[in-house]
Amino acid sequence: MSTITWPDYRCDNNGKRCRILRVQLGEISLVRLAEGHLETVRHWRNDPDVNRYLFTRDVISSARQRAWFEQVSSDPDQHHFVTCFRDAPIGACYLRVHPERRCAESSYYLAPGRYRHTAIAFLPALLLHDAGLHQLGLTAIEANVMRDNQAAIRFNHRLGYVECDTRDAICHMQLTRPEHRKAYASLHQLALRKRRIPASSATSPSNATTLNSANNETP
Amino acid sequence: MSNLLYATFARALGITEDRVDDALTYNTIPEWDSTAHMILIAELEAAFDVMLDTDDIIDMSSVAQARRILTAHGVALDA
Repeated sequence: MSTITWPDYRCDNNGKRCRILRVQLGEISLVRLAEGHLETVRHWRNDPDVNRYLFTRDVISSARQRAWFEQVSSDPDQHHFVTCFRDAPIGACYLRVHPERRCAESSYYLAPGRYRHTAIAFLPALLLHDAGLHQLGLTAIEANVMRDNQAAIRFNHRLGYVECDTRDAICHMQLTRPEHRKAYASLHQLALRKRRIPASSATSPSNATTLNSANNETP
Repeated sequence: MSNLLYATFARALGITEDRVDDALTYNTIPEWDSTAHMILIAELEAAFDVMLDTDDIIDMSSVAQARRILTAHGVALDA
């Protein structure tokens, strides 16, 4: 039976509330959304290939993006992240916590590019769920997906979500700790695989060690 | 071995084998989504007894690319 490697967290605690700054597993990390990310995220968010799956499809201006950032930054129940692969931003995700119910809504997307439609897409979602269910101590994560987005529904099922309301055009799904744990155990090793060693250095043991040590990198 | 490659893609993507050829890429069929890609990686590793690295997984965007990657792992595939 293989060992489970849990993500590394960097957090600060503002009073009793945990603020997650970074979550990392192997070469995938979630980095708390900062002012410097705003334009990149706005361009992704306005891309028709991302926008068509969102509930709010307005084109977002810089001013509106900034106003939104100021609002969510001061809300301790909103946790917005940029997803990074090898420290390069590739997507965004968030948890919006409902403290009275001890659950959160989740949302994630990858920017158009080479990582979409690949298995790598599972990793930020796994980390986001782990952050909510373990670091923030929530009992469930919820996702609302447009029913015609069958790829997202299938994706969420693989992450352990179950459908809990099928009445309307939106598929309401819920993930609990036991189901997350099972999904995490089966998928997380994907983040810990070796990086390709360039042919020219394949015989150098010292270089191989460097390339494979990304998981131990200080966040 | 090409038949095995095509059969593996067909099984992973849930399509018939006659839809698989080297020109098949991720953006040409709706069946190729992240979940199918995850299944595809597991099926290719099992069928050809290889362990793909992260870069192989990211680069696995077509049947032709899979052929190149598997060949680089020492799998003998017919042209």
